[in-house]
Amino acid sequence: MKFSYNWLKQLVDFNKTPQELADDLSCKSIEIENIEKFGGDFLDTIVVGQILEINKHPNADKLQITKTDIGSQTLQIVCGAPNIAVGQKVPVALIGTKLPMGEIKQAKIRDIESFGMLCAQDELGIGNDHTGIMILDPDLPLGKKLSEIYGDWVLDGNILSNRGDLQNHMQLAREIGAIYGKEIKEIQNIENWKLEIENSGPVDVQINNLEACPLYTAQAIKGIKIGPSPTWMQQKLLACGMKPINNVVDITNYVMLEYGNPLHAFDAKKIPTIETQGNYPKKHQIVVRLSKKGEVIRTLDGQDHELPEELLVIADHEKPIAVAGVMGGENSEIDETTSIVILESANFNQKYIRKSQRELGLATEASSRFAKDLSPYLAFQCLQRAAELLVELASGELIGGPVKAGAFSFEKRIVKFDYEKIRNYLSMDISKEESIKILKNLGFEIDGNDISVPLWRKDVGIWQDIAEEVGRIYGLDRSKEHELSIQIEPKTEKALYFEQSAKKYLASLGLTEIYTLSILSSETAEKSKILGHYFEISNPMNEYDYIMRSSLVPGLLAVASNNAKKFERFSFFELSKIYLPSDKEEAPSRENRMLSLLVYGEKNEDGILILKNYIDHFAGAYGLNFQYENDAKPKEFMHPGRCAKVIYKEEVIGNIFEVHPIVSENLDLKNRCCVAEINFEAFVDDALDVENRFAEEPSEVIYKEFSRFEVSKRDIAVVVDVGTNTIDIIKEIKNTDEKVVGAELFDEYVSDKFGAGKKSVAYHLTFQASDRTLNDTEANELFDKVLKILSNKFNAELRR
Amino acid sequence: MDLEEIKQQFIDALSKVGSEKDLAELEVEFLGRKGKLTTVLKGLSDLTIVEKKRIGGAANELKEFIAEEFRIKNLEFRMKKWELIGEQEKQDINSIIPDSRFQIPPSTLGHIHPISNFLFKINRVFEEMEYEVVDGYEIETDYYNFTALGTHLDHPARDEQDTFYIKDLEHPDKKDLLLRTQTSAMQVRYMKKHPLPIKIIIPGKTYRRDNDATHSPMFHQFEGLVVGEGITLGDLKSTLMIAMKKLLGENTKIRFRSSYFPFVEPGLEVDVTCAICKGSGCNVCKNTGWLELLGAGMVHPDVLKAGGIDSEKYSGFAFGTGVERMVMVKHAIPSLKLLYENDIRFLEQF
Repeated sequence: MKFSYNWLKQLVDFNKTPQELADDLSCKSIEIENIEKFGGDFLDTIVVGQILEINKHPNADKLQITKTDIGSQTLQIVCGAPNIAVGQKVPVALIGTKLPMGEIKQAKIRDIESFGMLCAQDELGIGNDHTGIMILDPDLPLGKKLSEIYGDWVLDGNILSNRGDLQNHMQLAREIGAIYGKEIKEIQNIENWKLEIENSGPVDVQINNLEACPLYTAQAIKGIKIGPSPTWMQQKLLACGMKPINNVVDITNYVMLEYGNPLHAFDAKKIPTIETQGNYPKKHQIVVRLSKKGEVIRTLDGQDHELPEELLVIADHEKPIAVAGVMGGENSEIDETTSIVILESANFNQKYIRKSQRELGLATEASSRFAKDLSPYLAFQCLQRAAELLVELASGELIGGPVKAGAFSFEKRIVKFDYEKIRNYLSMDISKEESIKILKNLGFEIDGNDISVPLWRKDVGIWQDIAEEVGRIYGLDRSKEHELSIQIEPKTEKALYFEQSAKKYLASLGLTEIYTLSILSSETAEKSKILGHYFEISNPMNEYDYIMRSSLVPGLLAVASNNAKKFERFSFFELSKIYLPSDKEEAPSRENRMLSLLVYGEKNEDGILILKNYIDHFAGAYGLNFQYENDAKPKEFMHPGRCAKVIYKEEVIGNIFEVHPIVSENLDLKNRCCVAEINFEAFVDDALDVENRFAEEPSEVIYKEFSRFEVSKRDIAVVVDVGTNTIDIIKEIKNTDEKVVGAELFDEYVSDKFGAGKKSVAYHLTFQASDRTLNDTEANELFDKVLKILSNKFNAELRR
Repeated sequence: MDLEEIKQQFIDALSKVGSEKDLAELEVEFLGRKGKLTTVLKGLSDLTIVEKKRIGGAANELKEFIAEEFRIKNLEFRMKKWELIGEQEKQDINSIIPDSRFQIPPSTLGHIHPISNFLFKINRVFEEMEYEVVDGYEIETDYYNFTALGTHLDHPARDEQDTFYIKDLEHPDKKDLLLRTQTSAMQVRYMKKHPLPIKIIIPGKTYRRDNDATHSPMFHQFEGLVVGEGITLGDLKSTLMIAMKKLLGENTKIRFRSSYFPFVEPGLEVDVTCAICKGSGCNVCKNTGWLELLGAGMVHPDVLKAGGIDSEKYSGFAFGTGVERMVMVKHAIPSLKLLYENDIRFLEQF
């Protein structure tokens, strides 16, 4: 939310730069995410001028020659915009002004000398209007620098969800006042504003849903003269990112920025009346209700909406005239002919506003304010403030008084003030006087031990809330450190230690740990043919990702599938939870750790036996002994001849199998893939030698980006001396060129047919560039390079 | 030829198919370029519009029927074939693999995922400070995740778009179970079951309905909770000072800023010295020298009450943060996605 620095300075006296203010607010009140200068430095050499004369340009139809008075002198300026007229006041960029679009120089434009430039709003960097030259307030003095009129700093603040009351300048000024020990300057006649409203105007309001709309107030005003709003108001709107439109709309927006409650103005003649008794026989009827399915409204942005059921709308006797708290309807819009205005200032429930925003895909300055909890008190304030301004600046005249529907209690909440308790809780050396001063500056009233909470604060109700108010303004960082004296006997579950230990041990066996999501897509589950699960997400992010896994295997296989595109051989493990129905009254679910392992790319029957060896080593390390039993009833996803049950203490705790070739095909796994999954919880209690201590592996790794371009693969087989170390060969291969990213031994064979004392070694080579996909020629060149190195270093000969 | 006739012929022929080869031939006979059904479909262009619609629709239906039958039959053959291969490749699980094919120790070591390793570190640091490490439920009730933590029904966090709910098959309108959005969900559950004082950390998986460059629907958090007699904000401060120095380095400083979480009062945001630039200002900390790292505060009395604790006699503090970001800062990992992509080229760097 945007705040004008200059405006805040008008409301409270402080002497801090925008940056200093932002830092203090970020620590003590709201986080300021960004500070931006409003209107560039160049506004110093742009001044107010008045057009005295306009003549046609002799050489160009679309250009005009003006004589423009800037107070000290009159300048001849050529201008291309059609909207200028004699007598208007306009911004004049003097020669030497460095606009973002370039420097203004004295120049001949189609043979006519021009001594400056008349500017549009967007050229000044204070708005995005480029429909013509910006027409200024006729009362502005000639020669006045635009920087003095429009220059500002904009603070962009992040309003927390409990502080809806801070979404305006007055209340933020109050926070600033408390931070710097100052009171704010309330506007003069605030005491005159009424808190009680007797219905005395020509508007009939009916609320059909008090939960959605606790309070609705309205005021009818006649004799309105639509025109531009004053410059000071336009500046504030522009600085806060809003576009000036006309005096009535601008006043509603201005008051929202000033006091925080969004307002709306309806054209009374567009809202039908009903017959009533009393002072006003005809009253404009306003109904606050939920929409019926299929109702339509065209909002002020020109969009047509077909409403779903149960969005909060403002309606006349039959149709919606506004989406409550979000945007008005075109059918009740203010225009140049408006003379009677019905001003709305209401309180809407945040839940309904968020629903409208979501369903209509529409968010406005108003709706974003209502989407945080606002006090109905603000609605009272804003109605009366806006009515005053409409009288003052749009020559309006009130018709009767305000009307209201709904209710709001003006009884203030009372919280006990216990200074000692607060000081202790915060661990701060703050005096009682200081605490009281902070609270008073924030608008709290203190009477002995009673603190009454200001009506706009919905978030304060207990002494801890008061402690927070005192603490944050004094500075939470000033809390005095105190060494924690609480001692317990930690009873950390063994499973957590064992989990850490197991992960480290499995990595030491050469397996790499992966982390897959617990939410599986139906596609992943289907491909692996492991479909059983117990929990589903009712509102998944898309139609596929809705399964809470009941096995780690589908996720593991999906990871294998991705990596198999680039690698021929690898092994993974994951030790994580699956989700099963609860077996205890008080437990929402049974979350069971599973250990899952995967070996990819081994030849023939090796895969499943290697996998089993991993498991046996793992079990052996913890003094466990697993048995295996060939599985006579393989599941659909298992290779029918290569599957077994893992048994511990006569119970089946998991299975081990080669993936069924049809499943492999589904997953693009070209090589054989073996998987095991065992129930980790089954042997946690029995595991021996689990160290009851946490410790990370020291790691100062700085991640290096890897190439995502396609790899090229080549196989190379060479004949070398029997004694040659195959790992040394890999090292040399990898040193050949940075594009040689992989070398893996896949065959080693000693035979006299290669010559006495010789052997054949064969490697898969992987080539890859960081910036492109290598073509065949490049890959062949790399192959030759590798061969050359091997023949140099190891006397190797290519095996034909 | 009549469509019904073609269908009958197909069904008869299919029942006689005995091999994959037969099946392939049958496919050509019906669906091939000059196949029986193809001929009918080609002939459609000579018909009137009305007939075209009538016969065309039925012919296409038949075509789909035949294609599906082929698919099923084909799968049957493949399954059979694999049963056979299964028999041929049968491997007794209890046979012994020659040592040469399985080496321990291995020629290359495996890798521990950086998230695991960081969690080990967090656990170690708090264990040294004599905390108990506690495991919590990831599928939680709405009560423990929200209500007990003071997140009232109108709170934005309760909106469906932020939280995954678990489908209740018996009561479709009920939204009782959800995927916890925060490890704080374990706070009240633990309070109810354990005597005071409490001094725990809760590391674990959490979930939110967010998936973009900087959010993953599943991520990790850890939560600290201390409850006892006379606990103050000063205790929280000293605790975090010690823990952050141990976690991030001896020169780490911390800073408290005012913030809001419904289950603490006062609530605060804790900044720590940027681990990258050591406080001098860099891209990671947006030149502030600080990283916004933890949420923390004094446990709200309503939360203590929900946990069955006398909030006038006892008080406590809580703190929590996301793990992924700390891992990313530590290893200069530029994208969250890398952590869950499980690409070997990433994993093997750790």
